[in-house]
Amino acid sequence: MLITHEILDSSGHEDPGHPERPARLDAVWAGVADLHLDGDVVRVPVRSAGRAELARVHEPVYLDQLGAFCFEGGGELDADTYATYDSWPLAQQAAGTGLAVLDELHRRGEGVGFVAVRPPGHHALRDRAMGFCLINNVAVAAAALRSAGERVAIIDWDVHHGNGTQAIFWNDPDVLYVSAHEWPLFPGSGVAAEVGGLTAVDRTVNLPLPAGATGDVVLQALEEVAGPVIDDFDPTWTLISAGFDGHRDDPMADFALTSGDYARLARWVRGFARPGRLAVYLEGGYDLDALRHSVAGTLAELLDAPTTLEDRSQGGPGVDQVARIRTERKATLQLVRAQAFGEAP
Amino acid sequence: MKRPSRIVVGYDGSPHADGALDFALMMADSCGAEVLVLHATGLLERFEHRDVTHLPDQVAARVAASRVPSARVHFAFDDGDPCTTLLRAAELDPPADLLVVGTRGHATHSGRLLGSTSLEVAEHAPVPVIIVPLEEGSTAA
Repeated sequence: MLITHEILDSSGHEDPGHPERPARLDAVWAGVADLHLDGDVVRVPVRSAGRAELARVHEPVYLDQLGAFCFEGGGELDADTYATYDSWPLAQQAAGTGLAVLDELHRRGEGVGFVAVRPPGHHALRDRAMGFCLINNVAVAAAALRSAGERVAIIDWDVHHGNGTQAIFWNDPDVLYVSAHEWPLFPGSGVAAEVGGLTAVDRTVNLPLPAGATGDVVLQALEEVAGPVIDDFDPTWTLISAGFDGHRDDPMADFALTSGDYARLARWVRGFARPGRLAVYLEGGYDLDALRHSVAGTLAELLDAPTTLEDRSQGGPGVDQVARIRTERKATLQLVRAQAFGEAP
Repeated sequence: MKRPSRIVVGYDGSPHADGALDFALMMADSCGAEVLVLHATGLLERFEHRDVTHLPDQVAARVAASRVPSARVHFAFDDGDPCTTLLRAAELDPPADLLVVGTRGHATHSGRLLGSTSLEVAEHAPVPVIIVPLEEGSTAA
């Protein structure tokens, strides 16, 4: 069963010519429709996140200033990121709807959550908009679960590193952040040696992979490097920060993934996520056809729904990089633990 | 505190960045330092295939026209957010010992409230940071 929400009208958050545009959500919902789920879909109402819910991950002064900036008509927040008059209420709705889906999942105890909102979130820092992101939606969701005593794993397969999410939970031992991303690439963070803060050592797993990486390489990195950490962490909830800009047709980066690859990444997540405790949050994805098919591939795998997928990609670069990541992480963890706990390196 | 030997300047081609470059050249001249001019490649620049290949020449021309045309100046592109790339530059080998940025770049927003790159860099940098305001008479982007 797909636990999702009523369609969010995000048309007020648009900057002509900008790739982060309302048509992205049309493509996403077309991908859902392709699965012909019929009665197996529950849609909760869109709702706005409250200030206290947002303030778990954002500085109150940032929320005030962002709201005021939008109220005054908006504009450019940085070289990549814009806001309009409507962006603030839409960002509140995006984050709040993510919480509403979690509530419904929790109530039912079954199904897979799917949150298709914009603007996206994983670059948004505690006190700064960035990389098309205003409010960090998946972080708001994880923080809500965290406040309820849950242990949350965030699996971020957007082609860009989710620097905002990583920073927000850097010192939180009850949130595990895993990111597989192209490197070097915006935002420039996410090297393997970033393993978490001193109070959350080994709660951040970065898998920086080269341009051209194929699905088999991304999966290998996740399985071999992140897999043991996830097993040890044993999350009670799993959230996917699902960007689809690693698709081979996406104009924003140079991974070589296909809709078939996103299905196998979803299968990997499904292997450790607890039933009824898994939700997917939309991040990037800017080629509309690729976005549609990748969403369909992901949800088809999670819901056992039949669909037609592109062939899985394989044979790309990065296998050697996986070994280097493992080595670099091990060395960094020894060093950090030696500094933090006096353990012998 | 030792005299700077390696200065890194954030550069996006804007008048604000030119002002920062001018200041860095002046500092380099007084300290005998070398200057690394760093351009961060953002999301939209990549998406739009924006041509920034002129930036090294723009910098070279500005250096040539400055009071220190023989300054040791290097130019580099780096994928990333301007703040992240500047902070990373501070930890390069050899590390920067001074960062110089303009008050803002091409963005129309003043950045005064919503966490500008310059303030973010100043907050997190492990080395001194100089934020250079736009000189009177210069034209903002």
